[in-house]
Amino acid sequence: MRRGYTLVEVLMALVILGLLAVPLGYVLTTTGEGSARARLQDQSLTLAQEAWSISRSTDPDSLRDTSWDRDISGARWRIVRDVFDSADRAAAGLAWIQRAATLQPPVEISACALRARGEEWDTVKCFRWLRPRMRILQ
Amino acid sequence: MKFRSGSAMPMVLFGMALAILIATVGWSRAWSRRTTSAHLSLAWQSRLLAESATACALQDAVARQKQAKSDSTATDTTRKVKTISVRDTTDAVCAFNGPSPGSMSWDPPAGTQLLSVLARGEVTESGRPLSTELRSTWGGAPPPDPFSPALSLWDRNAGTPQLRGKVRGTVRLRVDGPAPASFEAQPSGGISQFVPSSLGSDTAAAQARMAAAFRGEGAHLGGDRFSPAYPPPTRDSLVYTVGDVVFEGPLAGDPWTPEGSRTLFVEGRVEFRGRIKLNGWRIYAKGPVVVQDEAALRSADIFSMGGVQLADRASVSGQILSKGSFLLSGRASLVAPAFAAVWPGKGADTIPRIELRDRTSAQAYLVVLGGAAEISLGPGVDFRGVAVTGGILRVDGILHGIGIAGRVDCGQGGANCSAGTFDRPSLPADFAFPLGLPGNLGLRLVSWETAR
Repeated sequence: MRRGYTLVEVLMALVILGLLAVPLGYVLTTTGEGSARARLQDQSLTLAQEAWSISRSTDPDSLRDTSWDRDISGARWRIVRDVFDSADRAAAGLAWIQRAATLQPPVEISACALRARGEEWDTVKCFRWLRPRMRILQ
Repeated sequence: MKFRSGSAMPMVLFGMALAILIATVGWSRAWSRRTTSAHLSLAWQSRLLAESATACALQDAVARQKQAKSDSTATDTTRKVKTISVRDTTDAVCAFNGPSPGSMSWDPPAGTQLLSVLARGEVTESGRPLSTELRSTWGGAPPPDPFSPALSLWDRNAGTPQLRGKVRGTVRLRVDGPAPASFEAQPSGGISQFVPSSLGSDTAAAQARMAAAFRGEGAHLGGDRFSPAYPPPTRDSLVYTVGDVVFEGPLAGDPWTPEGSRTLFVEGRVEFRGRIKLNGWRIYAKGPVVVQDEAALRSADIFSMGGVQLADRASVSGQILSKGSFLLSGRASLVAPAFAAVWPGKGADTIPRIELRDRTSAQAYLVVLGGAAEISLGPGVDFRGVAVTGGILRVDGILHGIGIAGRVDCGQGGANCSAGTFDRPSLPADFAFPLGLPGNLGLRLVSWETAR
């Protein structure tokens, strides 16, 4: 009885390994990127929901452009909130604002979640919504 | 015979298979997580769009408010505050300033005393629309003081009322001199402070809308009878002149739930029977509107010139405006949020009334206009809310909430015809008051429902 592998067997194994290594490596890389992207999406959604919640509890006429920072799992995040009111819309020359003397359009809010990359900020996700201007009692 | 025990190929293949399995599982998990994350993000955007549409609908409705004239019966000038009174029109404008992440749409709010809003937000996911629907109802927030007593009475002629029923809470009495010891004096105001000032414009707008619909080209001569086998057309507005319209669901099994809401104009009688569920329908009828069996109408807006009846196990939520009468019998229920108002019909012998009989229940704000008006709650009735009548309030069951009446004398020898219980502490804090009340402090979200 002989123990060990023949040269042909070893060569065949190496060929098969080589053939599969490329797609496997690609799949594993993609998997990692996909997971990271999904994690970013989840975190940006959480931050956007926080921005929505804060904006909701603020009087619409007191809403201003602002930003605040958060640390999540060691990563630096920034939430940037932009508020567009009727004055902005009028300045933009939108036709329907001419009727807004009595209509009082809702306040438009945009919240973007940005992630720090070195000294720069990457925008991960932005959400937009409208808030009524009237007084709503909770 | 020579054989080897260390062939490499099976081991290599096994190793490869294992690696592929691990990679596939990892890829699959990452892929599904990516999909889930993307879906959550889009679902949130879609919900924000639906909320934005709700904002537009509300803003549009309230932008049409007009400041009511100050209450002429009020003597206390500090009480003169704005009234939100929404006119019944459907003009709407609203849009995003920046690039829209999807589309939003809303139906013009139904009702004017309780605003019922149906709003939608839609984004596209992998070429398919992802839509969120928000249905909300909004009421008013009146100042608490006028609504703090269990019972407010304006009966000048009856002297000190001899209340036979039990009262938990205070009784406020409008008297010329000082109030008796067991009663609070009514400081100012009349019944009008409990009646939405926009009722008159509501009824006028509804009648104008009916007249226009019956004259319109889309009017169908004669009535119709709808069932699961013969569903109503999908048009937004259905108009029937002269005839009656019947909706008949099955008597057993799953209820019939026609999709979408419609505005129904009927010159005759309207009837809902069997097991049927309708959401957000607006019904304008010259004849009576009857809801019976197990018919359920939610966020409905009913206007009738011939009276409204709920019978058997039928239930309705929303706004009901009726000429003549509004009757509940059997085990019918008026489900919160609900507002019902009745005004006098023609003829001296027509008494405007709201009557709850048998084992009916209601969570609502009820108003009956006219000095001869009557609200009657039978012995087995469970009522929670506010009952306002310019005439008699007859409580033989339990009124959890607030009673406001012009008279307590039934004219049959009794100083008081209410033998039931007035239980003020039971009124929920977030009870749906109508928007059009004098002194309304703002909008209050009464109910909120999400569907995807």
